[in-house]
Amino acid sequence: MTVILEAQNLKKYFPGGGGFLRKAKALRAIDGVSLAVNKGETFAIVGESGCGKSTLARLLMRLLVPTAGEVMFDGRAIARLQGADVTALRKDVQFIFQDPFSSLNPRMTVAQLIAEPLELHRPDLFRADRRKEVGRLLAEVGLRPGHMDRYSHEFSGGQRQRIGIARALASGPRVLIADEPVSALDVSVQAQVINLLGDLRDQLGLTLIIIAHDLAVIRHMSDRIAVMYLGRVVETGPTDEIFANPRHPYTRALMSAIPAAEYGARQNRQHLTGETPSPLSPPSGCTFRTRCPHATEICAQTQPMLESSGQGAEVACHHRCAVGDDSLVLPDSPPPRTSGAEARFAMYRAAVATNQKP
Amino acid sequence: MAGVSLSVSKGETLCIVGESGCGKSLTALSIMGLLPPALLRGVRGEMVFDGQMFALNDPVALANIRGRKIGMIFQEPMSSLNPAYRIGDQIAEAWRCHNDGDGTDQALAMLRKVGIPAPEARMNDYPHQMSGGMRQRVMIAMALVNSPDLLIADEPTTALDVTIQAEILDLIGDLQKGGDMATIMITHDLGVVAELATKVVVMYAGKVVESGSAEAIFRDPQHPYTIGLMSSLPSLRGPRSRLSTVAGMVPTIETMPQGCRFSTRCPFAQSRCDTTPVLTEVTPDHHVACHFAPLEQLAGAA
Repeated sequence: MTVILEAQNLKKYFPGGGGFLRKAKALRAIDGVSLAVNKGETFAIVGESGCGKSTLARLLMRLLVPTAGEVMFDGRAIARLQGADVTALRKDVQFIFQDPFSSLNPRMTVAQLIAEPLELHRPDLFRADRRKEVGRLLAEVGLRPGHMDRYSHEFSGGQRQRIGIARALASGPRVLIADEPVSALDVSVQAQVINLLGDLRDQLGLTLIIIAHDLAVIRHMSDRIAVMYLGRVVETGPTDEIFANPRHPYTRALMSAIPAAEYGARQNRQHLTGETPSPLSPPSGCTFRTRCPHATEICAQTQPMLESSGQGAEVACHHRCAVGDDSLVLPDSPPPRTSGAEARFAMYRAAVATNQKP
Repeated sequence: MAGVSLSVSKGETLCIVGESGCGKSLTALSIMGLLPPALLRGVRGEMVFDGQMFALNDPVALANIRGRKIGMIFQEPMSSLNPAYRIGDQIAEAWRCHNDGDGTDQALAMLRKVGIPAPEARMNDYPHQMSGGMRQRVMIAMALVNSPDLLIADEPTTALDVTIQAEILDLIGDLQKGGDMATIMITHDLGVVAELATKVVVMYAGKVVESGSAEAIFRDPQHPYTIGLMSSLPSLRGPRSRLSTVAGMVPTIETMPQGCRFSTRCPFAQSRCDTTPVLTEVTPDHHVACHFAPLEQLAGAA
């Protein structure tokens, strides 16, 4: 496996707070993140609001310039690229935005929206070829090419997200970074977009980086994940391993907090107290210690580093051994559905599968 | 919306599930008498509350019980709190509307009850000084200060992070425990439903397609839409297979099909679906609006 995108001790501080005659403090949005994304895999970044996951995504594709550290794409340092080099990078690394309603210009038709990146990245295409290419891209994301002269308001949320994906695909990227690609969508539409992203990855050999807060979606889509808290990665590793044996107390709390759509499943909820501290003045030592049930003196003094916890996973916690041995975190299995219901679910799957292959 | 009927008894939690535009919020607003006048003209229907009959197109009568007997929590706590008033005053105002006295003591007691640390100091905070989870707690305090018989919560946790959402769901569950208060919870999140509901109503395009006890809905779902919804959810355990989706999208008013409104997206739709299916009983207290229920018998026929 080759590493395609790598972050090396990335830091991004924003000026925050302060005011008239008062010195501004540094808001530590990203505080020393290192990670490596392999070619062809789906890497997920999980965390709650304010943990720095969106900032990290923007750093990875040079939408922001880091305060310190470096981003390597395909062996090239890209964190401080300028001008034409940035444009060239965009050809390879593209972004899908969260909100399909505000990320499309309402005064442009779909054909114009998708042709825009084509004009930039493939200027050699003739007008007619470009239109043909737009049609091909639309078909690729499951929209009718005949609709290319409509405006974005004529489409539903899920279709708009598909337009956003088509735009991202136009330059023929190798890495696609998606910031909460499905969180603005309804459940049934969300599943369509998840399937589409998975299909595109397999067909086009893309590397996907997904930012999300929905753990079920992440588990479904990703090969490896990184859990972030207050600008740092607290746990990272293969998705199955992290879900089977979460070791960091924050990961465990996060997983036990998801309400599972299963009736009668007993929750093994691990309660967190308080709220995320402000990144303007993060706690000393381990940033999670103010909410951690296992915190002791050492947590206040030294910041835990990411260390291997076996099975390819890494965790940053002083107490991971003591913490890791507890009982299950995920809810217990629910009572099974009735046999009639199982038959119905099987029929539904079969019917949908036949409908999808015309 | 067409012909929606619901009932909820004391101590029960009814969850209304559905996707955007299925009419679940509209249902709640019309119960509260909060529809804008333009929409109010189209409302027909009545509500029997605690044995008393209310016409849903009579906002004056509804305003009388609103806040006193029915409390409501909205989705966006920031936009439903007044940014210019201290939260203690806002909760006390809800008390003053329906009772004598200035309500400060009641507000303080409520803040304590919803788990806000140092409530005496927090009384004097403005909404912007609190986090999203705290604001939602304030909203709950405000809705419950008059000890209503019915609490309506419209997507109360959608705007919150998962760990905060878990706290709020626990809080709502705790507050309800042991009391007579009934809750109507509106949500699109089946996880929240599984956690809180005793009764579930699934809505699609302004109609109830399935209703029943939470156990019946989750263990023995009947309507293709309910099954489709559950199939589209990624799971937290087991193998990761391709998700079965509900094809297409919710029809708009102009494209609403004749008969069964789900027929345009249903993988089992046949010509019979041009006539509107009625809610029929499958087992006692479990109703479904589909011609083919129970669906597994269709396999034999086809």
